[in-house]
Amino acid sequence: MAAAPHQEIVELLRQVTGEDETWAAGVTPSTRVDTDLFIDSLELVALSEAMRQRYGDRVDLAAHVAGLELPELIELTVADLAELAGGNS
Amino acid sequence: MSRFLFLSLPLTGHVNPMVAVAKVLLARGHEVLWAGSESFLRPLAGPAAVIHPIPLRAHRGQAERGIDATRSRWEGYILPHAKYTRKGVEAAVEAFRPDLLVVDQHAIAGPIVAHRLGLPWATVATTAMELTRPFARGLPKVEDWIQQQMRTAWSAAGLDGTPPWDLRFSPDLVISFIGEDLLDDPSQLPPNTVVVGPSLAERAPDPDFPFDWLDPARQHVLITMGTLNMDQAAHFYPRILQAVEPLGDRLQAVVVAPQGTITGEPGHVLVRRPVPVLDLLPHMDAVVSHGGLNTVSESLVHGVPLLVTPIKGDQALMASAVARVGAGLRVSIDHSRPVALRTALLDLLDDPRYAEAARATGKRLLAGGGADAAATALIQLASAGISSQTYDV
Repeated sequence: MAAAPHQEIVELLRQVTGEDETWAAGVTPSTRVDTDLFIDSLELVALSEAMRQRYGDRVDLAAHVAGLELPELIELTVADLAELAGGNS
Repeated sequence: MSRFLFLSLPLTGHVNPMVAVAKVLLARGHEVLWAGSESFLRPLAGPAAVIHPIPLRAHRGQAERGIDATRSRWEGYILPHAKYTRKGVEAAVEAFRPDLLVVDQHAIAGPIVAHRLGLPWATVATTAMELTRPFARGLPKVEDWIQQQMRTAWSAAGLDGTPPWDLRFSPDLVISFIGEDLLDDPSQLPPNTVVVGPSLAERAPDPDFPFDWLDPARQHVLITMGTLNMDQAAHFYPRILQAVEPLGDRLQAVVVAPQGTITGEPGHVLVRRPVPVLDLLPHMDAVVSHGGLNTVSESLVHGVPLLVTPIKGDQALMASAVARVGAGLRVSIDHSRPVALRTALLDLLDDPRYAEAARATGKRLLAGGGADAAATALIQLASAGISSQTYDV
């Protein structure tokens, strides 16, 4: 299954952060979720739930990040989220 | 009478609660020696404090946030601090012969020296960052990584094998300055933890603060982002100032920031740094804060509700705890617009339930006994260990 479209993931990120279109326009596939967007723990929980609703129960972001090593967490990108949503992770 | 060696980090929020405990110990006739930077400790610990000097630069704060902040805290700060202070702590032990080492959870040179010299040690937790090991549940590999860092520090000190205990937790006594209401999961506390709650000491008054500027006809808001976070909060100040800008008819705001960093503020906003927080809190109706433990505890003890905008570390845990007990609201420092901040602030000011919850929570925090209870636990442990004590110096 192909990765989810970048714009869909950005829109979910925009919704859980309460940000606007200008903010969303600055988010690229290589933008880092933790290090660049400062998605905090509550927003991550909300994003995990939003992705589950959008892409189905097999897409479990919370379980995915729980399996990541510290450097991988720092480097997690928006493209990684799209891949996870597409079932490629 | 017992002898206590206090070891912290050059961080105001970490040292202040220990200063309060040291003062109680001294008042009860015990001896306290601090090991650390004299230029940093002296203004906080007072002119009478005895300090074994270990020259250190004051921590300027870290640029990283999120998980990257955890990485830099250990790699760039806790481990270098342990390496740099270990010899000085050993020298302090040899000179002072303490009955007990009293160690900040992040000053891991303490347990390393205690192990080498066969001394008992107690841990004090001045943040919630490690106390309940919050990473162990959600991000277990981050917790594994922290364990690896401690093994590295152990080996770097020339010790064999691996640490016999988690260096963040004394096997004998852990003192928590974080009241249970502020912990994410009190069931995760180590079994020998004494939760004493906030450890507050009187601080020097600020005779220059213009208390007469405060207009009794209006409400008052204190906006403070902590001593280390000016850069990381730089993007937040313009938004919170926009949020309070149209509210001059009903409130005045004191913003803690160096003069000159904020310009063009309206007449109902006072920018100053430092400010006498403990003397100001009785006048405040709400506090906007990053959620450092001390600001949160002090606000709640004064019955003042909080709008918490966590930046990093344990501040997110503090923010969630404040919201959970109903004593305030958690908002994103990065993603909150002025309108949303204004709405949240007015909610705190207009709904009396927040202040009621703050007062009730503050009472429960104080019930832990604070610095007094901490001193009692330390004295007990020091006199229990005194007979079996051996020095291997």
